[in-house]
Amino acid sequence: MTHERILDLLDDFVGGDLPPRDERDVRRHLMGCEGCRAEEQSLRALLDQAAALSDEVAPGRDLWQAIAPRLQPRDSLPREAEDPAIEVRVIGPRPARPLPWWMLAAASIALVVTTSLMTLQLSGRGADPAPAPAPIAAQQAQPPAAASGGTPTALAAFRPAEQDFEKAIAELEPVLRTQRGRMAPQTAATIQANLRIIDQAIEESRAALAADPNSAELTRMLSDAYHSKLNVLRRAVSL
Amino acid sequence: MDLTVRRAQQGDTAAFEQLYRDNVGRIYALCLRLSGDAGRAEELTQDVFVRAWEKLAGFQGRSAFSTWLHRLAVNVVLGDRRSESVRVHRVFATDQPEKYETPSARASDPGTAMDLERAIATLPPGARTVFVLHDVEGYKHEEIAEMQGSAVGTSKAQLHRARRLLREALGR
Repeated sequence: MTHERILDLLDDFVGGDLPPRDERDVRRHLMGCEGCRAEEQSLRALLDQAAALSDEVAPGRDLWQAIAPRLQPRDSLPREAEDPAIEVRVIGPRPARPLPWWMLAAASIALVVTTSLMTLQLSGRGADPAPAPAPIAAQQAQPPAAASGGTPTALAAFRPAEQDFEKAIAELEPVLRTQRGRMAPQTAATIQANLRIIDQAIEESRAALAADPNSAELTRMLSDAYHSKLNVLRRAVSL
Repeated sequence: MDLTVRRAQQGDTAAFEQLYRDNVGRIYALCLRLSGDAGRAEELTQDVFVRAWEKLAGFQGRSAFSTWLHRLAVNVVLGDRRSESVRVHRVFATDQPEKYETPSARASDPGTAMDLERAIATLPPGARTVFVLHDVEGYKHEEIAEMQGSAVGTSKAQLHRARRLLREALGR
């Protein structure tokens, strides 16, 4: 995908509205493109700010004094049916206000891992019969012999990429620790809670992969979980 | 159904005043952000509650009163927007920044929150409406398009424009 195409898709990407395939493509592009990643971070920062705006603003004066005289006695008002234009729209609850990105990241990764693991368990499908489409990080880190030979497991092929993830995470975690003191306590707690969720997703994916080291699906899930953690850390330290 | 709502439905203005007190902050915030003008937001807020009083007898409680009122407020403001073209264009009163200072905003990051509020107010009306409804209030493009009588693509394009303009205004 070109930079222009990625930038076109960013609105839907940050909103979680992209089809899985496009979402994966955008995510892969962002991993390798600093410029687009900066755009994404700027967009997410704006959305976080918007989501954090107060629900309530007090008017400068008591408006009731102007409202009360305009209220006609109930008897004099025509008895009208519930406004259908309103009622149709209120059958469901008022939409929740947008969530900050770290909540979405953790919620989505936890949901993906949980449902995918359940699906794999229920279907009894561990190893993919089809050739394993290794994640991008694994593809980049994979030695040519491993890619063509097929002898190493998907887990083994992913290992170099996993080491890269672990190294990047290890660099960011201390930075986050030092910055935590400057964050609002609620923000710091929320980030921490959601990092724990992602860590749990990593653990679960890894345990499943250890039992089924040839599963490309599990490798992809593990890669996605690492990527989510890295993403959360990167954005958290840039707050 | 909530007893206060039921009493207001029966014509009890004291009960309706209580509903006003409970909800005015949210409704005024919505009107302020959608209109970008503190004075107009006060007028719209009054209109919303007068309209709510008139329509309250028909409220059947299939949703929470606050939800019903919020949607009614969006309808009132969008209806006002449609007739706005025949009125004199209103300019955002930048000499009243305190209107955008809220207790919670001050508690978190006063400068940032107020900058964003001001930047929202300077957006073109169409872009501002979509940004507030989508990114602040959490409506989906499909709902916004339905409320505005426009296409989903139009809503998405307005949102893209709003976000770009806001990031430029905030120097990002």
